[in-house]
Amino acid sequence: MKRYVWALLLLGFYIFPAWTQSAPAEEENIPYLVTFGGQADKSWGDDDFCQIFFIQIPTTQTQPIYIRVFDPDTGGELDEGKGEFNTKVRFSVYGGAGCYSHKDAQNVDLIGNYKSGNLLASKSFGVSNRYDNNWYTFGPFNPLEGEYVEKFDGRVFKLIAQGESGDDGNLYRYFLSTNSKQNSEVEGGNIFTYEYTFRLSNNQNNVSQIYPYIDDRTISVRISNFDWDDDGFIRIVSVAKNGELCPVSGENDWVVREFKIIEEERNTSMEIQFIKSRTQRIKNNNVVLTVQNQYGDMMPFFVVPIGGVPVYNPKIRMRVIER
Amino acid sequence: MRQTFTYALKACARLFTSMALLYGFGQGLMAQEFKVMKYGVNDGLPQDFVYTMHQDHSGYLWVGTGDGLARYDGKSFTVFTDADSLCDNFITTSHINDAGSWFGHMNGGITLYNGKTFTKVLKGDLSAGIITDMKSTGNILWASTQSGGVWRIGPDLNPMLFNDPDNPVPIFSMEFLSSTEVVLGSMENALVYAIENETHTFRLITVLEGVPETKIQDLIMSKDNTTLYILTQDEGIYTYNTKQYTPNTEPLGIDMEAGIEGPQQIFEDHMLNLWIPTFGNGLYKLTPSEDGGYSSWESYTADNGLTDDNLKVVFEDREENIWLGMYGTGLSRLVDEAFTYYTFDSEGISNNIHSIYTTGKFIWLGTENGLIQYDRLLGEVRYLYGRTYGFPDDIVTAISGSADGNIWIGTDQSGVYHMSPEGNRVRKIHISEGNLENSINAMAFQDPYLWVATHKGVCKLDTESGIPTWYTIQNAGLPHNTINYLQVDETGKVWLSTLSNTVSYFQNDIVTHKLIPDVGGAVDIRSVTRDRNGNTWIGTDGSGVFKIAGDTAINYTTADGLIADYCYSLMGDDLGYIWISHRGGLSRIRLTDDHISPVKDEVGIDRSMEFNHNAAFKDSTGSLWFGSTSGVLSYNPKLAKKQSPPPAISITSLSVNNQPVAVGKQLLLPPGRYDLRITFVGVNLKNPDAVKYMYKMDGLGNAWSEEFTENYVNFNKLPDGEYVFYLGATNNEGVSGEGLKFPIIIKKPLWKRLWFYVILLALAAFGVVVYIKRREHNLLLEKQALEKAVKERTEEVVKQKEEIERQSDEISWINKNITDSIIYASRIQQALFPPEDQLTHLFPSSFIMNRPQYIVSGDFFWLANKDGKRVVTVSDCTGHGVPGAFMSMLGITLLNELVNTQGIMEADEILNHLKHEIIVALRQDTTSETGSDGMDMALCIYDPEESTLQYAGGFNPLVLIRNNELVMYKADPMPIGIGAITGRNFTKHSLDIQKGDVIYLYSDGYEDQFGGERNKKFSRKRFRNLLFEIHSLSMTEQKKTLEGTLDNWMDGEEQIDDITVMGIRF
Repeated sequence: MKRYVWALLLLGFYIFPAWTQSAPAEEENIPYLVTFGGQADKSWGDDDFCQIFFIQIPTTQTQPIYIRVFDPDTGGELDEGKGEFNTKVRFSVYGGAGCYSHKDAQNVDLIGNYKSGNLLASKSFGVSNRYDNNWYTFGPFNPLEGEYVEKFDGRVFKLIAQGESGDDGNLYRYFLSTNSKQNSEVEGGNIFTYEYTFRLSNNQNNVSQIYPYIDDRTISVRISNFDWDDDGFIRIVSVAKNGELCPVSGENDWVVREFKIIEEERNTSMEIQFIKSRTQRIKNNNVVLTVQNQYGDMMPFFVVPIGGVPVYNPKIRMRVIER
Repeated sequence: MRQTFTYALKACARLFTSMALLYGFGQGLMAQEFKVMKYGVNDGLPQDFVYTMHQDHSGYLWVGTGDGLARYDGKSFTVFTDADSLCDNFITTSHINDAGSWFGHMNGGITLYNGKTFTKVLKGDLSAGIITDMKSTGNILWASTQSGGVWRIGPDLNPMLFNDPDNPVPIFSMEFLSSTEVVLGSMENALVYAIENETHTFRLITVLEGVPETKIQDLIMSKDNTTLYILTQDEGIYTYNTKQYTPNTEPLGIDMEAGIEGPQQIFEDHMLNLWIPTFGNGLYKLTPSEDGGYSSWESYTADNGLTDDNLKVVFEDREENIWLGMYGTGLSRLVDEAFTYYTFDSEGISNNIHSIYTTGKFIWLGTENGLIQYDRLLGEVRYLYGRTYGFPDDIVTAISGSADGNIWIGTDQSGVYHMSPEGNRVRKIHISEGNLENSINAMAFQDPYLWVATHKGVCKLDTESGIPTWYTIQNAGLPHNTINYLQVDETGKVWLSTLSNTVSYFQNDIVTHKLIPDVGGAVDIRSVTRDRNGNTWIGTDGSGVFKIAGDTAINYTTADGLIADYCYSLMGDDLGYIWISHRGGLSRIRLTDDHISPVKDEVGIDRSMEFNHNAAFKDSTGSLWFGSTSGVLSYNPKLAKKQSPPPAISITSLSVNNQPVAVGKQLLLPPGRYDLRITFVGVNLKNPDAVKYMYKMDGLGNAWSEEFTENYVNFNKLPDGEYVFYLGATNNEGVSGEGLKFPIIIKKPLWKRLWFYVILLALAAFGVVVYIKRREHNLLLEKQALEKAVKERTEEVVKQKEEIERQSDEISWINKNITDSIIYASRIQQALFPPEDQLTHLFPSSFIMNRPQYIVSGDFFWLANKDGKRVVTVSDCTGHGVPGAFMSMLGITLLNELVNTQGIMEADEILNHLKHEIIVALRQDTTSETGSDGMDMALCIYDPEESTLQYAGGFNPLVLIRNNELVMYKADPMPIGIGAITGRNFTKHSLDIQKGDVIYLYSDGYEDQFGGERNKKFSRKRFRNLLFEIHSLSMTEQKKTLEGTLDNWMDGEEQIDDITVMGIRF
């Protein structure tokens, strides 16, 4: 099995030569992001048919950056068809003042001016095989077109994927690149979101994880998950937590669980593991996850965890997750 | 270049080339390069992301970036930021109208630059959104925003927001169909709106039909206002006929397989070409075809010369330069399209091109070791070299061909080769056995002959029979056997340039020579050509260019503008220019006026590009080809830009006495002498270093200066006056415009102004008037004062006069009384004096002259006759008038007493006694203060019987004249009274008197009297002489003479003393 996994990983590296600035990130072991068409059923795993990511660019970056989308159109083997493919999803890139700092921009509910900022690029992708298993590149973008955010000491772009019509699930990935034709990391760049809508792996042996960042104001975190279909369980790992379990949601359902945060967990990334059920075989499971602090503020998921992938202080024995 | 190279083709070609080279023949890539001039952050650009460009009325190129605004004058960038009052450093769009340059910002702000200052017309407004486009209708600026509104800004700079209240859409582009209708490009389509000025709204008229639902990236109106170009994000270009009445649009037909991806802008240049910069795919240029479409196109990418494939904006300036706003790699300028560069990027193919020849299908290029054959239509390159093709390992120095496709190749050391039209191999042509004869410099085909220039004469090869005919110094009289170049002109003459001062030509096998006149030293003629005016042009190695017109030769060198005096090839184009190649550039001579302009880096010629000797060719289309050490440069005159406009000149700064001052419409300075520096710029964006200036300053002189390149002029100690500074500028082609006129006024000081003199005169006149009036007033006052004073003085004088008169009367009365008294006393005194007849009784011949100074006299004379002796004396008492009279009375009284009473008859005794009596009478002593009153006296006692005469005198002498001899008996030097000498008696002189003797007794009054011409004393000497002169006269005559002489002497002078003279003749 290991050989197959390594072979798959090698193939993955060949196709995706660098994963560190992709969303989902390599470390997350999440196969794809997913956005359904506007006429889809939420029970299929997308609560609002919209996925908002933020692109963080360090101020040291002066050369153009590109935002690449893998398989942005619908149809083909990667997307989740509900009958004949009929879905259009629009990808839009925003920059300028307010694209991040506007209060509606960081809200997981699509209310108010969540499309704040300057629309820098936008393209609607429908049923096509042009970019099937291929990349579409937005950009180039002048880093200065992003909004300067002091706490990041960098500029932020906003990337919205919104299902316009149809009912299919569009599976895709992002990559932040310095090159329009291949994936080349932006040094110091990052991608994060406040509401993560993604496809769980179909492989029961794969464990996915995400890394919400616990800032210094956080006393407790409230983890919400949607439409988990009772597929396995969610474990919380941090420098102080060794696999606390979080209840999972059922079909078309939200479940919320709060966890206390202690001092040493602040300014670190928490690891939230998604471990599929080994007793039932659920395929094409799309889920939504958010994390809030005690104030109700949404907490970002960084693809490159600040401080690195959290390593639990070895008060307990480490164990291999893969089975 | 037509779009013939695709990535796939290139990849295949590379692969094939690498394989083919292994087998000794080659097929490679001929890379056509579009040279660009690059400007980035290191050149002063604030950021390498360029969003917008425009050229202002002063010729400056404004470049808006994501981090500042730059102004380019052809030499340097001046950067402006929010510190200079820009609304924001991020400039998204710009525009120019009569109000100035407008800049739209990422933060929604709008800035206006009016040529001097920036004004924040609209501060950043996030709700309004990014400014996406700007256009003008008349003097109204319209600025679209992504939030769905359009700002209207009129001359009052008061922004008003227009939008469609029912359905505001994000606006990405905008164009006006008229002043009342606008087309807005939205996220999905192009919408036509009517402008409702009263309600500040847009009313939707229609959606332009036929354009797929996609983002409208850009909208522009064609230059003839008939076509609206609609650039979509990913669905191509559409056109809308503005003269039609339907909303239908038509796709712009482009024969392009993949379409234009990532378009950012559509721009129409003056040739009506459409330029489309893209993100990721470089730049497209669509060229209009005769049928009105745009079927042909060119692609500019990083592969053929651009710095990158990401471009945001294209702009054409007034010099017709195409500027490229790169997205991440700064600013670029496409060099003149007429110039195209070719290089070969395949290994083994040399880019050192020594010879060129073209046909309709092929371009043949001679390299260091072979021949490049480039198929123009297919874009294929074959490289023929080595044994496979029959080539020697030698430089191909010359190529020529016939119309039927035969090609002859000349080599540096190996003679001439021939390639048939259908052949793939070359075959050597035997023309001679000698090495020099096989060293080929140039060739030209003149059917059926091939003329071959060698190092040992000219060979005329009959290409049909293969028989060569040689022409040398020996058999044809050539000026030199080394023939550097030859050319066949349109008249059939074969021109030869030789290693000499002479060019020659063959015509009908007759050689004619043209000697370059007036050239000092040897000239190495390298090339020769004829221009359309029939003049011969000669390029030399080190002596520049000669133009031979008839018998006249004109030499042009670097001093006249050539890049260098080493000329490697000469060629004329169809536009009337002679082109000369050098190392690092070309020189171009305009035939109309022989103006020389350099052609260098501004068209992309690198300084390291060294053109080879006679590696030049003019093809059948008129294009010129130049071979160099780094590829081939071709110049297509048909694409050449028309004459460049003159530099746009403006004054950039002024300093007065080393202090900067603002530049206005004129310079106005207060009186003084100033050091003035005027700094200016003649904006020529393409060739700024070639801009030359000249100026004149009306007021200092009317002559224009010599041309200069510095961008400033200094004037030292400029005095007051009215000046006009005229500035002219020429570009590299010598084209100048109207120039600039700038008045400078240094005010005259007050004292140099007419009105000052008028005022001064008026003041002077006023002053005079005031002075006069004042003086009159003062005089009046003085007069009044004087009158008053006079009156007072008059009254005083009257009083004084009355007093004086009173006193005078009193004095007169007193005087009269005194005078009367004195007169009375005089009578008494006269009574005491012996009468004159008594004197004549005692001395019959005698006279007495007595003139008292006043009424009574201090002088007196006294007579006595006692005992037969006669006593006579003349005395001069101290004092005059009354005091003297008193003394005389005392003297007479005492003399009477002493002589007549006491009977003393001794002269000395009489005086002694008299002195004593006077001292006693006057109570005189030497110590007392009783005075020294007394008298001087001469006393004589005459005894008639004895005829003797006693004389004694105090101060008064006795004069005796006997026998015409004057004897004077001196008196004792003491008075009759108290004196300095005491205790001494008077001396008695006793004389015997002879008949006729004359004696004179006298006081000192006569001789002391002032008068005469010099108002001097009469003097004792003159008096004695007078006495001596008159002594013989009768005594009466003597007295008259004495009196007359005295009167004449005095001549009106006042008598100063009593005068008494007594004369007695015995």
